[in-house]
Amino acid sequence: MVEPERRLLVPDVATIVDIRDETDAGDVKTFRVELDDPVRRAAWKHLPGQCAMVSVFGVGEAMISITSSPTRGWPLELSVKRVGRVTGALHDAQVGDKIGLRGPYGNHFPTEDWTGKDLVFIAGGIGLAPVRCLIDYCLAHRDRFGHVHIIYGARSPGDLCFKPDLFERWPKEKDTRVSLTVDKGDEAWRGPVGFVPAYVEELKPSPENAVTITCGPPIMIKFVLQALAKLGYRDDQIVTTLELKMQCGVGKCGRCNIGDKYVCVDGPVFTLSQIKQLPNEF
Amino acid sequence: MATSPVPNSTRLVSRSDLGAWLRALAGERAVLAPVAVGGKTMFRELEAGQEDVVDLETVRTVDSPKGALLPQTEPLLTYAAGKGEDGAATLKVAPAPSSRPAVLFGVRPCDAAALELLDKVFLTGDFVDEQYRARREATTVVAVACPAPARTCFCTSFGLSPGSERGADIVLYGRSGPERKSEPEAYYAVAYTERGEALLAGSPASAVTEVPAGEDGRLEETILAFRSLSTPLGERLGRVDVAPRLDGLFEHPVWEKLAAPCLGCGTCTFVCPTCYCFGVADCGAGGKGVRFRYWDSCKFPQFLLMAAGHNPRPAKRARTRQRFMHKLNYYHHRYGEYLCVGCGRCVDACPVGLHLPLVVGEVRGL
Repeated sequence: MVEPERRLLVPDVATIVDIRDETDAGDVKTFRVELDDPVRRAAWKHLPGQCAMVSVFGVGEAMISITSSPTRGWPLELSVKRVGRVTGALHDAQVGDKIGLRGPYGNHFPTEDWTGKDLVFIAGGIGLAPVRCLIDYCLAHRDRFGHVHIIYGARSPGDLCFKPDLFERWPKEKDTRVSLTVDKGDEAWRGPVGFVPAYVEELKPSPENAVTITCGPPIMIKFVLQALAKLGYRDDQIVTTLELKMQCGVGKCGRCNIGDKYVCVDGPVFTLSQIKQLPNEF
Repeated sequence: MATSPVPNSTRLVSRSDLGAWLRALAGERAVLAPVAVGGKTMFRELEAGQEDVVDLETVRTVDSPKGALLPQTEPLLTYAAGKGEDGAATLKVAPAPSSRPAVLFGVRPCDAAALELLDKVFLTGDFVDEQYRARREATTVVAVACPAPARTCFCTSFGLSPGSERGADIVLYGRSGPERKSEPEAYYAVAYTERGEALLAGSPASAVTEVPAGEDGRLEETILAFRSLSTPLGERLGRVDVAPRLDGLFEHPVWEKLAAPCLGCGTCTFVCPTCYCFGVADCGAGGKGVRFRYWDSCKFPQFLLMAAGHNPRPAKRARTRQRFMHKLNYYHHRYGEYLCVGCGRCVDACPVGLHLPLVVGEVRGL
């Protein structure tokens, strides 16, 4: 049999096999998807931090972070907030619908450099999506790392994503602490109330032999970085991700550059020391 | 890069036989060449009968030949949604069909060199664009040396010349040399690549003839004469060398000053033979349609606008800086040379005179 010709910008067909609401407002959903072609499925290998170009045919393509750890296999999970046209069309899709998938693209979190270190994960809102993949990957290789601290916040209790992980799965893991906060509580909420950066300062995760991974809205990242600096974290201990508009995802379309770096192929994962080398244009 | 002609793959073509040669090249292949369209010389696929009116005299076509490799719009795939016998959703995605082999005829040396700069983007790195590669491998580039560079030409500022062969499979040199008053009566056709040699070998002997014995010296002198030509704007500009200087100028107020007159029309990016930024969009209805890519422009305000409303380059200053930093610094960091071949189209076409030589001059003066 002749292998069909592969083209860089032509996605493989995938099927949505499950859809889960993450938030009470319904603005974040997790899509479980499966590539239709078993050969392509077997060839797919992603690492935490990598992304996929997701197509809704007739609407367009968008770069989405992969939220399921490669250690969990298929189906792949993509958590998507309803923001624009493609994410809106995805939200309108149903189980059984066909989408397109290309990738995985981009670099990955450098977990190979973190052996023996304590890990401090800090995320806000949908920013937990790429971090969740990383957390599960690290927990699947639990013995390679020290203490794990997950600090996460959302606008309200109903906006917390991945509740089964936050409340049931992760707190039961060995030497793992989960600290949650919300901007505004409700009648049932007994936990802390306040923004993530202030909560980080209050929790004071030690920078000694630690790496911190931060994802969330730009404004949260900005103040978390200030908090981490106060706590004594060096720039090379701080890892985050960047995002920009993308069209090809493979460094050709000339869109997502910051200086001479393309977020799609040179990122999305950068240390703060690397980010400080880039021109301020994101 | 080949630097000297291979004697056994040089031929002679009379001006009066060019039409016959082009007719012989057509058929299986698409032949694209400069032709007059509505009073302007454009790079177009020849229609039957146009072989005899190819314009090799006008210094540059309004549009560059880049569209032959990266069309202004080109389909990437077609998709068709349906329902299977069990009622389940189905989706067929098919790559766009491959294009016909092509000959780009009468390409200026600057435009031929530009194709190699596009190659670096689409054919190197971790990802190769197979659609571009297929078209590139099926394309033969026949350049023609420039006898009289225009006032706004500056290819020499990038190490090229009116007779350089970079990016060309064959270069045509007017037999009477660059210093002449009328169209040459014949051209030397010098092959610089195997693809070029194959094209010459497959051309009819009636149109493409042997170079008369004893003419080797004249051939070498002619090529050298074209390569030694200076370009008017290139003379004034000198070798472009500003990449290191630009490293520290991202925040400099010069971008505000340069961008002030920019209309954001994007003409510079469309006529430029090296601007390659593209967008991707779907067009269809009823579950069927086509996904295509199209030339986009970093000068357009929406270029980087994201779904949530954030725009990292909301100001003209940032967009102007992006275009020139890409050409003179970012691309240089990534690929080791400048993303410009000095064709001069931006100098001619920009309605407010915001062109690359101006920017180079400003940067040098800082």
